[in-house]
Amino acid sequence: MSSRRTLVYAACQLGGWGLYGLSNILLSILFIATTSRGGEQFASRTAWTVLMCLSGGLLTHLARTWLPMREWVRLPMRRLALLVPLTCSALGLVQQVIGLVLAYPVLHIYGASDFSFTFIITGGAFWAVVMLMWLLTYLTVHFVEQARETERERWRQEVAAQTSELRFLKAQLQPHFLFNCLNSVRALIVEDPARAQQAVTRLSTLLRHALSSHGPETVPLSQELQVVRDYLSLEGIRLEERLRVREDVAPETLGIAVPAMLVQTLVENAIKHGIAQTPEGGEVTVLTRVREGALLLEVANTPAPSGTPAPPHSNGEGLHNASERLRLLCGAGASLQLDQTSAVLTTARVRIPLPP
Amino acid sequence: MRVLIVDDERLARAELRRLLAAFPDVEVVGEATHVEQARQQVEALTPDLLLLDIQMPGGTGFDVLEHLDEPPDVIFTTAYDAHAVRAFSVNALDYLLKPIEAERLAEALERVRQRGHVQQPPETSRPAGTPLERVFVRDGERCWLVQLAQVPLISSEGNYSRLHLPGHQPLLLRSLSYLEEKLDPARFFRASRQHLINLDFVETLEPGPGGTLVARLRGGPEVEMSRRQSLRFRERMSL
Repeated sequence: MSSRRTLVYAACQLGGWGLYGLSNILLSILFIATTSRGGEQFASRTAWTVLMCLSGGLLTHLARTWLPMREWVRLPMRRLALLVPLTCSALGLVQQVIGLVLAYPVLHIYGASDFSFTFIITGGAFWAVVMLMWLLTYLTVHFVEQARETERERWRQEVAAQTSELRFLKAQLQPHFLFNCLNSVRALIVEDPARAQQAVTRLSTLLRHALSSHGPETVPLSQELQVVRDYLSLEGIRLEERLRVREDVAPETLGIAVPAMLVQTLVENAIKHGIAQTPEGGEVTVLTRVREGALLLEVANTPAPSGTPAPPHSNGEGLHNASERLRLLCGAGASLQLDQTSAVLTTARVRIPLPP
Repeated sequence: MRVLIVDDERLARAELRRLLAAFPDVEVVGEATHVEQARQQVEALTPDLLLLDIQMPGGTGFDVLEHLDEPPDVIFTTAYDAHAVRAFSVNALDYLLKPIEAERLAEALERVRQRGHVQQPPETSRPAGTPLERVFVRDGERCWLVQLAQVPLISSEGNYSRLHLPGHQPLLLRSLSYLEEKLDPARFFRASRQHLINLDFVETLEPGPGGTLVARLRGGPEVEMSRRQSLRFRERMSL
């Protein structure tokens, strides 16, 4: 890729300066070769043009190597408005000095009488304009490339967002949970009709939330926690005394925006991999704090006894998706980590930096 | 029909009990809530039928079956498990989706009753020491209850054994020596350290090198007997 870019650059350099030289030579054929001393002048003028093209090419090449020009496309316009004229003037001046040295002592195109202040300045200005054209061409190419790259990146992000949303939707409507839940509710209808009714209400709320939550991407933590409570109470019907829940929520965290279904996914994991795998059950803890300018969110559970085979179809995809969504919605500063170092507690830890 | 319910959720067990109450010939002899307990209960209660949940603490319903010496008939119950459902070759093992429909339960029970009549004498409680009749095997995504009488050849693979059935060769989590002890000696013969052959499947016997015997089994495979076992086989046949 980069060798291809170098090749394109070399072709542009050669082509551009070559074209400039060629058109100059053609012009001198038209205007100088026809005059009396034309033949002799034409030779030295052609030599001068060729040398000037070489020096121009070399100068711009050195400028490209030494100056961070490729980064200029990212600079604000105000900086560019200063940088571009300065660079052109400097390059033009150097080129003019080289041109004069070549023209006067080396090729004797001019006599000493030809030199005037205006002559020198006009020449310098001319070369500055040539350099400006070179620089503009160079920057345009890079601007276009940058724009295309940005567009591509945007598409990539959009596709990633859509894919994760799709996976997320599918993961939300967990059939296993849903049918187990309905089964419990059916048993409850005979055993405890009031609790059965309550369960149906909770299930409805949860389904409604799951179906609508692709609308707003983030929700206030308080809303997310309400969903989690509905979910936990339904799992509580299924798991009964095996599921113990503890909430430790700092009031100042309630308004903070979190990706919808994030805590839900973590709690679901805690139950699937921890509580449901243990015959005597265990505890799920949800803790939220504001610490060092960030929301700290922890979901901890008593892990399954060691040696328990992983539940089927659990390849950590839920956690991976949650992590991807988190970064997509809350920026690269947000993180999700699963801490399994403790034998008595598995903790999923989320950090979301707060806007300053 | 004596039934053991295995499910980690009390409400799910209660629901099953309620559904089973409609069948006068069904007696729920016990309940288990996890893999280890299920194994113990099967050994202790020797039920005719297991109503077995797939996802449980400590493993799956398959883990319960794989280590049972004499697995009873099984109906799996599951909330939803696309893979597991695919795993059953339905004529061998049945499954019910939760919430369970009474009608589907009746069908499944009827199937078990019929299977029971074909395979077992009416007195279902088997005294200890009766030869092993069938085993549960899992091969990748598929599961079977295999009638050992239908297995022509069993070969040794370290601590495991491979059942050579036409079309598939599932691995069994038992050693060949263990199987030799448990299987009906009138039917299975230890041909060599590597092989246990089903005598019902022996088509021809040919003399092999060094006074050994080579048994050709129905369905293809040839098994060379060891010298010692060839001798024993000859003795047995001449009796």
